[in-house]
Amino acid sequence: MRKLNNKGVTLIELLVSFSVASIIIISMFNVVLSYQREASMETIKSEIVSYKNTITKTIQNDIIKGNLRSVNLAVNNQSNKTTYTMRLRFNKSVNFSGRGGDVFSKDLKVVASNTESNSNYIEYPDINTNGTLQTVRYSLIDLAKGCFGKTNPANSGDTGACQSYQNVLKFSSINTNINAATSGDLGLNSNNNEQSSAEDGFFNNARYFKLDIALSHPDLGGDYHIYIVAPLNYPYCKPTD
Amino acid sequence: MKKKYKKNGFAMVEILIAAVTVIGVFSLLYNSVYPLIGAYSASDKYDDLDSKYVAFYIKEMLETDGRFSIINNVLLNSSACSNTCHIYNTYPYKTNPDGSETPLTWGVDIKTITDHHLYKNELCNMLREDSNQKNNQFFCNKYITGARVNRIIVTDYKLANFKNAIKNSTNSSITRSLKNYVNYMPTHIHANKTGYRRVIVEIEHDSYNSVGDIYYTYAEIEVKG
Repeated sequence: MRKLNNKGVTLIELLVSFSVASIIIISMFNVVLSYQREASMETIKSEIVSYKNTITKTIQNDIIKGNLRSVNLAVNNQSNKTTYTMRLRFNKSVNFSGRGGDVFSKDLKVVASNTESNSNYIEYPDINTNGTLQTVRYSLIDLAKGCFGKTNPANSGDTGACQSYQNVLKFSSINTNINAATSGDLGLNSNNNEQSSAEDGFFNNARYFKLDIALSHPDLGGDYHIYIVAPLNYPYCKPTD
Repeated sequence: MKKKYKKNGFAMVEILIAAVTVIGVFSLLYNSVYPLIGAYSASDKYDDLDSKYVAFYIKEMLETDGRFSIINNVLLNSSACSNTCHIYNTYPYKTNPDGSETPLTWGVDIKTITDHHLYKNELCNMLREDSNQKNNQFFCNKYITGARVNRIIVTDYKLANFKNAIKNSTNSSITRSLKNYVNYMPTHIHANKTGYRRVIVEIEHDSYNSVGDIYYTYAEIEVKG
Protein backbone atom coordinates (compact mmCIF):
# COMPACT_ATOMS: atom_id res chain seq x y z
CA MET A 1 0.00 0.00 0.00
CA ARG A 2 1.24 3.41 -0.92
CA LYS A 3 2.15 5.52 2.06
CA LEU A 4 1.19 9.17 1.76
CA ASN A 5 3.31 12.00 3.02
CA ASN A 6 1.11 13.65 5.64
CA LYS A 7 3.66 16.01 7.01
CA GLY A 8 2.24 19.22 5.44
CA VAL A 9 4.25 22.40 5.78
CA THR A 10 6.12 23.54 8.83
CA LEU A 11 5.36 26.80 10.59
CA ILE A 12 8.64 28.24 9.43
CA GLU A 13 7.83 27.43 5.80
CA LEU A 14 4.39 28.98 6.20
CA LEU A 15 5.80 32.16 7.75
CA VAL A 16 8.44 32.49 5.08
CA SER A 17 5.83 32.00 2.36
CA PHE A 18 3.52 34.61 3.88
CA SER A 19 6.36 37.07 4.29
CA VAL A 20 7.44 36.72 0.67
CA ALA A 21 3.84 36.97 -0.55
CA SER A 22 3.22 40.07 1.61
CA ILE A 23 6.32 41.83 0.31
CA ILE A 24 5.31 41.11 -3.27
CA ILE A 25 1.71 42.27 -2.72
CA ILE A 26 2.74 45.48 -0.96
CA SER A 27 5.23 46.37 -3.66
CA MET A 28 2.68 45.58 -6.36
CA PHE A 29 0.03 47.63 -4.58
CA ASN A 30 1.96 50.87 -5.07
CA VAL A 31 2.61 50.01 -8.68
CA VAL A 32 -1.07 49.27 -9.29
CA LEU A 33 -2.09 52.51 -7.55
CA SER A 34 0.27 54.57 -9.70
CA TYR A 35 -1.01 52.89 -12.86
CA GLN A 36 -4.59 53.46 -11.75
CA ARG A 37 -3.86 57.15 -11.31
CA GLU A 38 -2.10 57.26 -14.65
CA ALA A 39 -5.08 55.58 -16.32
CA SER A 40 -7.43 58.17 -14.82
CA MET A 41 -5.21 60.96 -16.08
CA GLU A 42 -5.16 59.41 -19.53
CA THR A 43 -8.96 59.29 -19.52
CA ILE A 44 -9.11 62.99 -18.65
CA LYS A 45 -6.52 63.80 -21.29
CA SER A 46 -8.39 61.91 -23.97
CA GLU A 47 -11.63 63.71 -22.96
CA ILE A 48 -9.96 67.09 -23.32
CA VAL A 49 -8.29 66.18 -26.61
CA SER A 50 -11.53 64.75 -27.95
CA TYR A 51 -13.40 67.92 -26.92
CA LYS A 52 -10.95 70.27 -28.60
CA ASN A 53 -10.58 68.06 -31.68
CA THR A 54 -14.32 67.87 -32.27
CA ILE A 55 -14.68 71.63 -32.13
CA THR A 56 -11.55 72.29 -34.16
CA LYS A 57 -12.47 69.83 -36.91
CA THR A 58 -16.00 71.18 -37.25
CA ILE A 59 -14.88 74.79 -37.54
CA GLN A 60 -11.81 74.16 -39.70
CA ASN A 61 -13.85 72.00 -42.05
CA ASP A 62 -16.16 74.96 -42.71
CA ILE A 63 -13.26 77.39 -43.03
CA ILE A 64 -11.49 75.28 -45.64
CA LYS A 65 -14.53 74.20 -47.65
CA GLY A 66 -16.32 77.53 -47.44
CA ASN A 67 -13.20 79.71 -47.77
CA LEU A 68 -13.54 81.98 -44.77
CA ARG A 69 -14.23 85.51 -45.91
CA SER A 70 -14.46 87.62 -42.79
CA VAL A 71 -15.07 87.45 -39.08
CA ASN A 72 -16.93 89.92 -36.99
CA LEU A 73 -16.30 89.82 -33.26
CA ALA A 74 -18.66 91.07 -30.57
CA VAL A 75 -17.74 90.83 -26.91
CA ASN A 76 -20.44 91.07 -24.28
CA ASN A 77 -19.17 91.53 -20.73
CA GLN A 78 -21.65 90.74 -18.01
CA SER A 79 -21.14 90.48 -14.29
CA ASN A 80 -21.19 86.71 -14.26
CA LYS A 81 -19.92 85.84 -17.73
CA THR A 82 -18.24 87.10 -20.89
CA THR A 83 -19.63 86.10 -24.26
CA TYR A 84 -17.54 86.24 -27.43
CA THR A 85 -19.68 86.00 -30.55
CA MET A 86 -17.80 85.55 -33.79
CA ARG A 87 -19.80 85.68 -37.00
CA LEU A 88 -17.89 83.66 -39.58
CA ARG A 89 -18.80 84.54 -43.16
CA PHE A 90 -17.81 82.37 -46.06
CA ASN A 91 -17.05 83.05 -49.72
CA LYS A 92 -18.22 79.81 -51.20
CA SER A 93 -21.74 78.61 -51.38
CA VAL A 94 -21.05 75.54 -49.38
CA ASN A 95 -24.05 73.45 -48.59
CA PHE A 96 -23.62 73.56 -44.83
CA SER A 97 -27.18 72.68 -44.08
CA GLY A 98 -27.63 69.94 -46.66
CA ARG A 99 -30.29 71.98 -48.43
CA GLY A 100 -28.40 73.35 -51.39
CA GLY A 101 -27.29 76.33 -50.14
CA ASP A 102 -27.07 79.78 -49.45
CA VAL A 103 -26.03 79.59 -45.84
CA PHE A 104 -23.03 81.85 -45.74
CA SER A 105 -22.51 82.62 -42.13
CA LYS A 106 -22.34 80.89 -38.82
CA ASP A 107 -22.06 82.26 -35.32
CA LEU A 108 -19.35 80.84 -33.14
CA LYS A 109 -20.06 81.64 -29.53
CA VAL A 110 -17.62 81.22 -26.66
CA VAL A 111 -19.05 81.76 -23.18
CA ALA A 112 -16.68 82.09 -20.24
CA SER A 113 -18.27 82.17 -16.85
CA ASN A 114 -16.75 84.31 -14.15
CA THR A 115 -18.16 82.19 -11.38
CA GLU A 116 -18.41 78.51 -12.15
CA SER A 117 -15.88 76.75 -14.28
CA ASN A 118 -18.44 74.25 -15.51
CA SER A 119 -20.56 77.01 -17.07
CA ASN A 120 -18.00 77.57 -19.80
CA TYR A 121 -19.10 76.39 -23.19
CA ILE A 122 -18.78 76.86 -26.96
CA GLU A 123 -21.68 76.95 -29.39
CA TYR A 124 -21.41 76.36 -33.11
CA PRO A 125 -23.94 75.28 -35.75
CA ASP A 126 -23.38 71.84 -37.20
CA ILE A 127 -25.35 69.39 -39.27
CA ASN A 128 -27.34 67.01 -37.12
CA THR A 129 -28.41 63.47 -37.94
CA ASN A 130 -31.47 64.75 -39.80
CA GLY A 131 -29.24 66.71 -42.18
CA THR A 132 -30.34 70.08 -40.87
CA LEU A 133 -28.23 72.80 -39.35
CA GLN A 134 -28.52 73.01 -35.60
CA THR A 135 -26.55 74.89 -32.98
CA VAL A 136 -24.58 72.46 -30.88
CA ARG A 137 -23.38 73.33 -27.41
CA TYR A 138 -19.97 71.93 -26.60
CA SER A 139 -20.05 72.08 -22.84
CA LEU A 140 -17.36 71.43 -20.29
CA ILE A 141 -19.90 69.93 -17.93
CA ASP A 142 -19.24 66.23 -17.38
CA LEU A 143 -15.83 66.65 -18.92
CA ALA A 144 -12.57 66.02 -17.17
CA LYS A 145 -13.76 65.24 -13.73
CA GLY A 146 -10.85 64.63 -11.49
CA CYS A 147 -8.58 66.33 -9.02
CA PHE A 148 -6.54 63.70 -7.35
CA GLY A 149 -5.44 64.77 -3.92
CA LYS A 150 -4.68 68.33 -4.92
CA THR A 151 -6.34 71.58 -4.06
CA ASN A 152 -8.74 72.79 -6.64
CA PRO A 153 -7.69 76.13 -8.10
CA ALA A 154 -10.98 76.32 -9.97
CA ASN A 155 -12.63 77.30 -6.70
CA SER A 156 -11.10 80.45 -5.32
CA GLY A 157 -10.23 80.20 -1.68
CA ASP A 158 -10.20 76.43 -1.71
CA THR A 159 -7.19 75.60 0.34
CA GLY A 160 -8.32 72.30 1.71
CA ALA A 161 -8.14 68.86 0.20
CA CYS A 162 -9.69 68.57 -3.19
CA GLN A 163 -13.19 67.27 -3.34
CA SER A 164 -13.12 64.28 -5.57
CA TYR A 165 -14.70 64.20 -8.98
CA GLN A 166 -15.46 67.79 -9.66
CA ASN A 167 -15.68 69.53 -12.97
CA VAL A 168 -12.37 71.27 -12.89
CA LEU A 169 -11.63 71.91 -16.55
CA LYS A 170 -11.98 75.58 -17.44
CA PHE A 171 -11.11 78.19 -20.01
CA SER A 172 -8.08 79.90 -18.54
CA SER A 173 -7.77 82.44 -21.33
CA ILE A 174 -9.53 83.39 -24.54
CA ASN A 175 -7.67 85.33 -27.20
CA THR A 176 -9.29 86.33 -30.43
CA ASN A 177 -7.58 88.00 -33.32
CA ILE A 178 -9.24 88.69 -36.62
CA ASN A 179 -6.63 91.11 -37.76
CA ALA A 180 -3.25 90.68 -39.35
CA ALA A 181 -1.46 93.46 -37.58
CA THR A 182 -3.41 96.61 -36.82
CA SER A 183 -7.02 97.62 -36.95
CA GLY A 184 -6.31 99.48 -40.16
CA ASP A 185 -5.29 96.23 -41.76
CA LEU A 186 -8.73 94.78 -41.45
CA GLY A 187 -10.30 97.07 -44.04
CA LEU A 188 -13.83 96.61 -42.79
CA ASN A 189 -16.79 97.93 -44.63
CA SER A 190 -18.51 100.35 -42.31
CA ASN A 191 -21.98 99.17 -43.30
CA ASN A 192 -21.84 95.52 -42.54
CA ASN A 193 -18.61 95.09 -40.66
CA GLU A 194 -17.13 92.85 -43.26
CA GLN A 195 -14.70 93.27 -46.03
CA SER A 196 -16.12 94.93 -49.11
CA SER A 197 -14.21 92.86 -51.62
CA ALA A 198 -12.50 89.53 -51.15
CA GLU A 199 -10.03 90.22 -53.92
CA ASP A 200 -9.10 93.67 -52.67
CA GLY A 201 -8.82 92.32 -49.20
CA PHE A 202 -6.43 89.66 -50.26
CA PHE A 203 -4.16 92.02 -52.15
CA ASN A 204 -4.18 94.83 -49.67
CA ASN A 205 -5.09 93.43 -46.31
CA ALA A 206 -3.90 89.89 -46.04
CA ARG A 207 -5.01 88.65 -42.68
CA TYR A 208 -6.05 85.74 -40.60
CA PHE A 209 -8.53 84.69 -38.00
CA LYS A 210 -7.17 83.44 -34.73
CA LEU A 211 -8.95 81.89 -31.80
CA ASP A 212 -6.83 80.63 -28.93
CA ILE A 213 -8.63 79.20 -25.92
CA ALA A 214 -6.42 77.74 -23.22
CA LEU A 215 -7.96 74.88 -21.29
CA SER A 216 -6.63 74.29 -17.83
CA HIS A 217 -6.98 71.43 -15.42
CA PRO A 218 -5.33 71.35 -11.99
CA ASP A 219 -3.81 67.95 -12.56
CA LEU A 220 -2.84 68.42 -16.19
CA GLY A 221 -1.77 72.03 -16.28
CA GLY A 222 -2.56 74.58 -18.94
CA ASP A 223 -0.93 73.15 -22.04
CA TYR A 224 -4.15 72.29 -23.86
CA HIS A 225 -5.46 74.80 -26.33
CA ILE A 226 -8.19 75.15 -28.87
CA TYR A 227 -5.95 76.86 -31.39
CA ILE A 228 -7.51 77.87 -34.67
CA VAL A 229 -5.48 80.09 -36.95
CA ALA A 230 -6.93 80.31 -40.43
CA PRO A 231 -6.37 82.61 -43.38
CA LEU A 232 -9.12 84.94 -44.53
CA ASN A 233 -9.87 85.06 -48.24
CA TYR A 234 -7.06 82.78 -49.22
CA PRO A 235 -7.47 82.16 -52.96
CA TYR A 236 -6.00 78.65 -53.12
CA CYS A 237 -4.88 79.36 -56.67
CA LYS A 238 -2.75 76.36 -57.48
CA PRO A 239 -1.06 76.57 -60.85
CA THR A 240 -1.89 73.73 -63.19
CA ASP A 241 0.57 70.86 -63.14
CA MET B 1 6.11 -3.58 -5.19
CA LYS B 2 6.61 -0.23 -3.63
CA LYS B 3 7.16 2.49 -6.22
CA LYS B 4 10.16 4.60 -5.59
CA TYR B 5 9.65 8.31 -6.31
CA LYS B 6 12.42 10.48 -7.60
CA LYS B 7 12.73 13.35 -5.10
CA ASN B 8 15.42 15.36 -6.82
CA GLY B 9 13.23 18.20 -8.17
CA PHE B 10 14.98 20.55 -10.58
CA ALA B 11 18.70 20.79 -10.86
CA MET B 12 20.25 24.21 -10.35
CA VAL B 13 21.40 24.31 -13.96
CA GLU B 14 17.84 23.67 -15.16
CA ILE B 15 16.52 26.56 -13.09
CA LEU B 16 19.26 28.83 -14.34
CA ILE B 17 18.61 27.95 -17.98
CA ALA B 18 14.87 28.46 -17.54
CA ALA B 19 15.43 31.79 -15.74
CA VAL B 20 17.85 33.07 -18.36
CA THR B 21 15.44 32.09 -21.15
CA VAL B 22 12.51 33.85 -19.49
CA ILE B 23 14.59 36.97 -18.78
CA GLY B 24 15.79 36.98 -22.39
CA VAL B 25 12.25 36.77 -23.75
CA PHE B 26 11.04 39.56 -21.46
CA SER B 27 14.03 41.74 -22.39
CA LEU B 28 13.21 41.34 -26.07
CA LEU B 29 9.59 42.19 -25.43
CA TYR B 30 10.54 45.23 -23.36
CA ASN B 31 12.91 46.49 -26.02
CA SER B 32 10.19 46.10 -28.62
CA VAL B 33 7.48 47.80 -26.60
CA TYR B 34 9.54 50.59 -25.01
CA PRO B 35 10.01 52.65 -28.22
CA LEU B 36 6.27 52.41 -28.83
CA ILE B 37 5.60 53.89 -25.40
CA GLY B 38 8.09 56.68 -26.17
CA ALA B 39 6.49 57.29 -29.56
CA TYR B 40 3.05 57.51 -27.96
CA SER B 41 4.28 59.96 -25.33
CA ALA B 42 6.02 62.13 -27.93
CA SER B 43 2.95 62.11 -30.14
CA ASP B 44 0.73 62.90 -27.17
CA LYS B 45 2.92 65.77 -26.09
CA TYR B 46 3.97 67.40 -29.33
CA ASP B 47 1.61 66.37 -32.10
CA ASP B 48 -1.84 67.91 -32.10
CA LEU B 49 -4.65 68.61 -34.53
CA ASP B 50 -4.32 72.38 -34.33
CA SER B 51 -0.72 72.23 -35.47
CA LYS B 52 -1.73 69.93 -38.30
CA TYR B 53 -4.12 72.58 -39.61
CA VAL B 54 -1.38 75.23 -39.41
CA ALA B 55 0.85 72.89 -41.42
CA PHE B 56 -1.99 72.38 -43.87
CA TYR B 57 -2.31 76.12 -44.57
CA ILE B 58 1.45 76.41 -45.03
CA LYS B 59 1.29 73.49 -47.44
CA GLU B 60 -1.40 75.33 -49.39
CA MET B 61 0.87 78.37 -49.63
CA LEU B 62 3.78 76.25 -50.82
CA GLU B 63 1.69 74.46 -53.40
CA THR B 64 0.13 77.72 -54.53
CA ASP B 65 3.65 78.90 -55.17
CA GLY B 66 4.10 76.12 -57.68
CA ARG B 67 5.70 72.76 -57.85
CA PHE B 68 9.43 72.52 -57.29
CA SER B 69 10.13 76.20 -56.78
CA ILE B 70 10.14 76.35 -53.00
CA ILE B 71 12.03 73.13 -52.46
CA ASN B 72 14.58 74.19 -55.05
CA ASN B 73 14.92 77.53 -53.32
CA VAL B 74 15.76 75.74 -50.10
CA LEU B 75 18.34 73.63 -51.88
CA LEU B 76 19.91 76.56 -53.71
CA ASN B 77 20.27 78.45 -50.45
CA SER B 78 21.95 75.53 -48.70
CA SER B 79 25.64 75.46 -47.87
CA ALA B 80 26.04 72.51 -50.23
CA CYS B 81 25.50 74.83 -53.15
CA SER B 82 27.50 77.96 -52.34
CA ASN B 83 26.35 79.58 -55.57
CA THR B 84 27.35 76.57 -57.65
CA CYS B 85 23.86 75.19 -58.21
CA HIS B 86 21.28 75.89 -60.82
CA ILE B 87 17.87 74.61 -61.83
CA TYR B 88 17.56 72.65 -65.02
CA ASN B 89 14.25 71.22 -66.13
CA THR B 90 12.78 71.89 -62.67
CA TYR B 91 15.50 69.88 -60.96
CA PRO B 92 18.51 71.28 -59.07
CA TYR B 93 22.03 70.47 -60.27
CA LYS B 94 25.40 71.15 -58.74
CA THR B 95 28.37 72.21 -60.82
CA ASN B 96 31.47 70.32 -59.74
CA PRO B 97 35.03 71.78 -59.81
CA ASP B 98 35.79 69.79 -62.98
CA GLY B 99 32.83 71.39 -64.70
CA SER B 100 30.62 68.30 -64.62
CA GLU B 101 27.12 68.55 -63.24
CA THR B 102 25.43 66.21 -60.84
CA PRO B 103 21.90 66.25 -59.43
CA LEU B 104 21.64 67.65 -55.95
CA THR B 105 20.42 64.96 -53.59
CA TRP B 106 19.13 64.90 -50.06
CA GLY B 107 21.27 63.08 -47.57
CA VAL B 108 24.36 63.45 -49.76
CA ASP B 109 24.62 67.15 -50.60
CA ILE B 110 21.95 68.26 -48.16
CA LYS B 111 22.85 66.73 -44.87
CA THR B 112 23.35 69.42 -42.27
CA ILE B 113 20.58 70.82 -40.16
CA THR B 114 21.10 74.37 -41.31
CA ASP B 115 20.49 73.19 -44.85
CA HIS B 116 17.00 72.09 -43.90
CA HIS B 117 16.23 74.88 -41.56
CA LEU B 118 14.09 77.91 -42.09
CA TYR B 119 13.38 80.25 -39.24
CA LYS B 120 10.01 81.89 -39.05
CA ASN B 121 9.47 83.98 -42.16
CA GLU B 122 12.43 82.81 -44.25
CA LEU B 123 10.21 80.40 -46.13
CA CYS B 124 7.71 83.12 -46.99
CA ASN B 125 10.43 85.31 -48.40
CA MET B 126 11.29 82.54 -50.86
CA LEU B 127 7.80 82.38 -52.29
CA ARG B 128 7.21 83.88 -55.68
CA GLU B 129 5.21 87.01 -56.34
CA ASP B 130 3.43 87.27 -59.65
CA SER B 131 -0.07 87.39 -60.99
CA ASN B 132 -0.63 83.69 -60.40
CA GLN B 133 0.67 83.68 -56.88
CA LYS B 134 -1.29 86.75 -55.82
CA ASN B 135 0.72 88.22 -53.02
CA ASN B 136 1.46 84.83 -51.54
CA GLN B 137 4.62 86.08 -49.87
CA PHE B 138 2.92 88.85 -47.93
CA PHE B 139 0.08 86.55 -46.96
CA CYS B 140 2.49 83.87 -45.77
CA ASN B 141 4.40 86.38 -43.64
CA LYS B 142 1.25 87.52 -41.92
CA TYR B 143 -0.02 84.02 -41.34
CA ILE B 144 3.23 82.63 -39.96
CA THR B 145 3.55 85.56 -37.57
CA GLY B 146 -0.07 85.17 -36.48
CA ALA B 147 0.13 81.45 -35.94
CA ARG B 148 3.44 81.87 -34.09
CA VAL B 149 5.27 79.47 -36.33
CA ASN B 150 8.76 79.42 -34.93
CA ARG B 151 10.50 77.15 -37.36
CA ILE B 152 9.86 75.37 -40.62
CA ILE B 153 11.94 72.46 -41.78
CA VAL B 154 11.88 71.25 -45.34
CA THR B 155 13.28 67.82 -45.88
CA ASP B 156 13.20 64.76 -48.05
CA TYR B 157 10.26 62.39 -48.02
CA LYS B 158 12.53 59.65 -46.70
CA LEU B 159 13.34 60.70 -43.17
CA ALA B 160 16.25 58.41 -42.26
CA ASN B 161 19.05 60.88 -43.11
CA PHE B 162 17.23 63.79 -41.54
CA LYS B 163 16.59 61.88 -38.32
CA ASN B 164 20.26 61.03 -38.05
CA ALA B 165 21.22 64.63 -38.70
CA ILE B 166 18.91 65.87 -35.94
CA LYS B 167 20.01 63.15 -33.55
CA ASN B 168 23.70 63.92 -33.99
CA SER B 169 23.33 67.68 -34.21
CA THR B 170 25.21 69.82 -31.71
CA ASN B 171 23.49 72.94 -32.99
CA SER B 172 22.21 74.80 -29.93
CA SER B 173 19.10 75.95 -31.76
CA ILE B 174 17.82 72.40 -31.97
CA THR B 175 15.61 72.17 -28.93
CA ARG B 176 15.11 69.05 -26.92
CA SER B 177 11.44 68.96 -27.86
CA LEU B 178 12.35 69.05 -31.57
CA LYS B 179 14.82 66.22 -31.09
CA ASN B 180 12.21 64.17 -29.26
CA TYR B 181 9.58 64.81 -31.88
CA VAL B 182 11.83 63.96 -34.81
CA ASN B 183 13.24 60.93 -33.05
CA TYR B 184 9.82 59.35 -32.82
CA MET B 185 8.56 60.33 -36.25
CA PRO B 186 7.49 57.24 -38.17
CA THR B 187 9.76 56.32 -41.06
CA HIS B 188 7.37 54.29 -43.16
CA ILE B 189 7.03 55.48 -46.76
CA HIS B 190 4.61 54.92 -49.61
CA ALA B 191 6.07 53.87 -52.93
CA ASN B 192 3.70 56.13 -54.90
CA LYS B 193 4.87 59.31 -53.16
CA THR B 194 7.51 60.19 -55.72
CA GLY B 195 8.29 63.89 -55.81
CA TYR B 196 6.97 64.56 -52.32
CA ARG B 197 8.82 66.40 -49.58
CA ARG B 198 8.06 66.75 -45.92
CA VAL B 199 7.48 70.02 -44.15
CA ILE B 200 7.78 70.07 -40.37
CA VAL B 201 6.30 73.03 -38.55
CA GLU B 202 7.15 74.13 -35.01
CA ILE B 203 4.56 76.29 -33.27
CA GLU B 204 5.12 78.27 -30.12
CA HIS B 205 2.47 78.42 -27.40
CA ASP B 206 2.15 80.18 -24.08
CA SER B 207 1.88 77.79 -21.22
CA TYR B 208 -0.53 78.70 -18.47
CA ASN B 209 1.31 76.58 -15.94
CA SER B 210 3.50 79.51 -15.03
CA VAL B 211 3.83 83.02 -16.38
CA GLY B 212 6.31 83.38 -19.23
CA ASP B 213 6.55 79.66 -19.93
CA ILE B 214 6.35 78.58 -23.52
CA TYR B 215 6.11 75.18 -25.10
CA TYR B 216 6.15 73.86 -28.64
CA THR B 217 3.94 71.64 -30.71
CA TYR B 218 4.81 70.15 -34.08
CA ALA B 219 3.15 68.90 -37.20
CA GLU B 220 4.47 67.25 -40.30
CA ILE B 221 2.80 67.33 -43.68
CA GLU B 222 3.71 66.01 -47.11
CA VAL B 223 4.09 68.58 -49.86
CA LYS B 224 4.40 67.82 -53.51
CA GLY B 225 7.30 69.61 -55.13
